[in-house]
This record gives sequence, structure tokens and C-alpha cells, in this order.
Amino acid sequence: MEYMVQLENIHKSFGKNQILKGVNMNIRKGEVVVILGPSGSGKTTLLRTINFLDSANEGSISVSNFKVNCNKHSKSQVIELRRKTAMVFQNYNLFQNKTILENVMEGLIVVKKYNKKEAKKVSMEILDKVGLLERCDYYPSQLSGGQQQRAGIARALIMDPDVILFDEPTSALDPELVGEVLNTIKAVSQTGITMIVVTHEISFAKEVASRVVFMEGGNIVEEGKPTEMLVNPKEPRTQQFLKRII
Amino acid sequence: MTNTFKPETILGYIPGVLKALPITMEILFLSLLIGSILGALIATANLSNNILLRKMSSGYISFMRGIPTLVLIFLLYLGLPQIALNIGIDMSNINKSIYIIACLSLNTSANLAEMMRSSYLAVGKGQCEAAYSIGMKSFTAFRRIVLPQAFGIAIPTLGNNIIILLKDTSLAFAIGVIDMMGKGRALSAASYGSNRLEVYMATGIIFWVLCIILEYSSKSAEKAYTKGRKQSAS
Ligand SMILES: Nc1ncnc2c1ncn2[C@@H]1O[C@H](COP(=O)(O)OP(=O)(O)O)[C@@H](O)[C@H]1O
Ligand SMILES: [Mg+2]
Repeated sequence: MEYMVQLENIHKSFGKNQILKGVNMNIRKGEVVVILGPSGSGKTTLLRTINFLDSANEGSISVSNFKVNCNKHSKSQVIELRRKTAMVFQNYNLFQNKTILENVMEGLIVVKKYNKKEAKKVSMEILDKVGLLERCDYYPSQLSGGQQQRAGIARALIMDPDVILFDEPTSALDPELVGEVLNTIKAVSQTGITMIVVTHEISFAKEVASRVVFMEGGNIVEEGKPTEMLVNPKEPRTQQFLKRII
Repeated sequence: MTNTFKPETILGYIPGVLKALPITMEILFLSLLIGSILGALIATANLSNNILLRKMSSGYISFMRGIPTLVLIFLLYLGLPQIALNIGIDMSNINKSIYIIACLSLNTSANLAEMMRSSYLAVGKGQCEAAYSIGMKSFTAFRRIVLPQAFGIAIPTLGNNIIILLKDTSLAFAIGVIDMMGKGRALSAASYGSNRLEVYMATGIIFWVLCIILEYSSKSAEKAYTKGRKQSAS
């Protein structure tokens, strides 16, 4: 297996607006790719095309050698692709009608067909890792944003995906809660799982990323090692962007 | 004219009127059941991607909400058999209650469809997407994630619709069904109308008490169902 994730020539339009203009990306197993870029550049859309929450108009997506053609795919292919990926949302999107434990167990029971007892045992272990053991019987609305997002990470992790997609996981959080979530993501990255993270947290990117990708206007403008990209980017557009957010 | 109003006799008529409670309940229950099934179909059509289905269901909802229930009852009870006779079908043997149940089902299905549609839409899109993102199929996501939340959102409106429906069952007397209202009318006719004020007050009190019970049940159902959880996610 050469690459864990391969995006080939991804095009996506909403109506007449072309949002992604032929994105290519190859990601090896265990890589942590951080995507930077101004608002509206298509970062969220790119992540959403990977698990077909939005389906791209053109191109192909392959995750751990399972390849799906974007303009010619079946429902079962989409389901299978989604089972190889997991997503952490900007607004957490925890199931409001379920407790934290039930949120985490849901995928194991419904998708992986675990029995309840087993599912609970595994879920408790994960909740312990993200520091939510004591909150497992709370409903999402009873938790802070940081706790909700950690639960969102647990819900994604438990599916044992080949790649986790993070869409600005900390940008809906109060500043004092950002740290706990970033630390959780950092810990996840050390387990060797492949990750694609959209974020504006530059110091986090420096520490965790194996590669930084800069996107603008639906294209990848530049990519490279975090030390090069974040300190000495070549493209003037990248330089400008970094100057603005640091 | 002397004052013949005897308020102390009102309560005495309650048992007599209550004898028809089972009929009223039967009409209520069956109309609610059939109306819900119909309403679910119409709501589904209204939320579909098919423009024709959407237009048709919107038209149905608009018509059924616009037409007075009594007019619908007369249309169906008096008009339909006439049309049927013209094409050789004799509908004179059909039980009158069936007309009432049919009319109330049609009428309430529009309200219930509207309720289901808006409750469904009130559950954030993100809930479904989160379910898809962990590999759930769309029907499973609907059944386990969206429907339970939509139901919680719908409870107060559902309670209201049931109360409206209960009150509408009293229109059954108009075509001679002996529901509680019909029973009250019969009791009053038996004494040539001399006690009609008392009898109708007794009937009114029964409906009122039933509504209070329904309202209370709806409130407690909502509380029990949504305890701890916030409804309507972003
Ligand atoms: N469902 C949609 N319908 C129409 N336009 C959309 C939709 N989703 C995103 N867009 C548009 O696509 C562009 C890129 O959005 P997005 O991928 O969210 O950017 P980013 O995450 O980089 O801020 C924006 O201009 C946005 O308005
Ligand atoms: Mg975004």
C-alpha cells in the first residue's frame, strides 16, 4: 500500500460557483496534514468531498486502496468509504438525543454490530482517554464546548478509521477551551493514525503536522514541511496569509 | 317567560352524556391513527426532491387547512354518495361514523403533515451528517437520530392537534352520529328542549375536562421525553 489517502483532480461546484478546481493530494499512512487557507477557500468543502457529505463533480477519492469515482459512484461505495473515514466537525454535531456514552457507542452498535456490553466497555476506554469518563452520562447540551468536542473526537476515534478529518475543531470554542482540545488531538496524532486537519492554530501545526498545505480559491497553492511552510513560505500569497493570522 | 335554568341539575346530566364517550374516543383515536399515517406520507412527499410531489402535497395541505371541517363533512356525506350513485355504486349502507372518521382523518392529516415537516426541518442538518460520517445508512440515521429528536420537538404541537381533533369530533352530530354531542342533543330533545342549557353545559364541561387532561399529558410527555437534552440542534 503506497498511500493511505489519494485525491485526484477533485472538482466541486455549487451551482455556477466553482469551489474546488482540481485538487490533488497523496497522503501516506500516519501523516498529519494541516490545511491552511483563508475563509471561503474551499477547505471545508474539500474535507466533505472526501467522505461524500458533498459529492465532487469530478475526480476520484481513494482511502486505503478503496477507490471511488466521484461522478460515478454507488450508495454502497459511499457507505464503505465513510466507514474508512471519520470526521470531527466545527460545531461538534453530537447526537443531541443521546448521552456522551451513547454518542460514542452508537457507531459501534449500529455500524460495527458490537453487542451493547462490548460497545460500552470499548467506549468507556476511549472516553477515559479523552478525559470524559465522569461525564459519560451527560447529554451534549450539559457540557462545555471543549468537552463536547472531545466527545466528538472520541466518537470518531472509536470507529478505528483509516483517516480522521478535522474541520476547524477549535474555532467554535472559547479561547480558554482551545488548549484541552488541541492536546487531545495531539495525543491522537501520536497514535500513528492518518489525519487531515483544517485549522488556523499555527503553533499547533508547527508541533503536530508532518505536512502543511496552503489552499486558496479552490486550489492548493503551496505545500511542504511545517518548518519550511510556516517560517519561509515561497509563495507571496502564503506569506501574506501567515502575516495576517500570526 | 319564566326562568327555568336549574344549574344544580347540570352535573346530573354528565353520566348520560358520558355514555357516548366510547364513540367519541373511537372517532378520535381512529382519525388520529389514519390521519398520522396519511400525514406522514404527505410530509414525506412535501420533503421530497420531486417537484410534482411537493406541489401536490402543498396543494393538499392548503386545501385541507382552508376548508371548514363541517363543509368537508357535508361534501363527503351528501356529495360523495350522489357521485357514486351516478357511476352505479350504492353507498347508503355505509356507517355514518365512517364518514366522520374519514373527514377528520383527512382534515387532521394536513395539520399533522405540517407538524411533521417543520419538526423534521428543526432537527439540524448536522445531526444527519454526523450519523453519515460514522458510516450509518440514511434510513438508520433517520430512525435513530433524526426521528427521536423531531418527535420531541413535535410533542406540544401534537398535543394541540389532538385537542383540536377532539373538539371537532363533536361535528359528528351534524349527520346524526350519536357521539357525546349527539347524545346531549338527544337528551335535550327527549324533554322537548326544556333542559337544553343544562345538558349542553354538561357536554361542554366534559369536553373541557378532557382537554385539560390532554394538555396535562402533553406537558408531562414533553418533560419526560426531553429531560436533560436540548431539542433542536444547530
Ligand atoms: N452547500 C453550499 N451551497 C452553496 N455554496 C456553498 C456551499 N457550501 C460551501 N459553499 C461555498 O463554497 C465556498 C467555500 O466554502 P468552504 O469550503 O466552507 O470554505 P472554507 O472552509 O475554506 O472557509 C464558499 O464561498 C461558500 O459560500
Ligand atoms: Mg470551513
